[in-house]
Amino acid sequence: MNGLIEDWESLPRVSIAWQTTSASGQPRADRAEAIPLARALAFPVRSRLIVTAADGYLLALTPKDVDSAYLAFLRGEYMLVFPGDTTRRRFVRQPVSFEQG
Amino acid sequence: MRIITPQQNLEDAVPSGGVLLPCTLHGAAVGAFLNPPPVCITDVYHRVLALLPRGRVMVIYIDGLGYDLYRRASLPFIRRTFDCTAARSVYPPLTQPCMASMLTGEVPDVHGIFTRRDHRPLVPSLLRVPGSVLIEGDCAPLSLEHPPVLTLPEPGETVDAAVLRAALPHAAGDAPLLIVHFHGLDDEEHHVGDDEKLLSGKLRELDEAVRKLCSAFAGTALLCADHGVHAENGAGAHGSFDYRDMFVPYGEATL
Repeated sequence: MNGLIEDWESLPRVSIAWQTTSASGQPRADRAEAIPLARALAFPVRSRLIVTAADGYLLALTPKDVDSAYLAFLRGEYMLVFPGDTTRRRFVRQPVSFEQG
Repeated sequence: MRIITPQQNLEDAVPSGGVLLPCTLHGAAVGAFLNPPPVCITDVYHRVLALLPRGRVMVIYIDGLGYDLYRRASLPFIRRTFDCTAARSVYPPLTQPCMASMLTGEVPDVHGIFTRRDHRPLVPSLLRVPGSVLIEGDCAPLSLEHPPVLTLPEPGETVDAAVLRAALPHAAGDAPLLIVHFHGLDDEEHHVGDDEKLLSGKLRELDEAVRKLCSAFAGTALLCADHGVHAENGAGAHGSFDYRDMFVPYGEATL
């Protein structure tokens, strides 16, 4: 992934859990061992970070958002997860690039 | 099979008389509209293309504003200016499929966006219009012909205030097509449900934001939403074939 340090996958993982609203309205709980994004980034975020996914999805993050984001390996791919985001709106499947915005 | 009108769910009761319009997904009916309003959110695409030869067009897209909430809410400027009618949404009533329907003029079976995880429509969208501008919050729900303007709130600023701040120069500028996506209402509904009293501050903010946008713009403005929200377990949810999710306000104004 562009914008991450070279050995980011070997960083220590932490246990995270989150609960989101599914399309049916029923809460859905998940947990994973994940890497804090702030530790994996190759640069300090100055004003905003733009995340691009393999399918073209774009997300802008503030430095504060970066501190609450994790890279979790789920169902065979990495996903950017925000445990506090109950809507999953900002979850990013297969992020491929992290750039200063 | 559930039957819905803009005012209620009729569950399995099939009334005598009236017109039933099936709502389908993957070729199977998920429910039906009774005496459906003629306008569907897919009409946004066709109306914009029809209006563009006459001048500038601005689409004001309020995420999560269902027609049921619109009827109950205090939105004085929007009501006076756009005098919205009920429009049908598409199934599933989630941001990505519905936004794709608004911007491509097609239903999910055609544009291929069915879930929150799908981002790239299979068919062209309004973003193919040269010079078009899409103003988004912090993320782009869809990957379209060109990227949107992403906005992040400054300290103390709401997500919708950030979108408005980014949109105003474009409203006063010369982009032939400006699409402004406010998503703060949907975010708040997920926490508090669809009670207009609990949402009154956000609704007031949106009404004022729309007033400012309209003041800065000359041309035709369309106001529409993608889906509504229904209260469930003390919060808001959407994605069901429910009248609160499946009908949205639609209106036009010459500014």
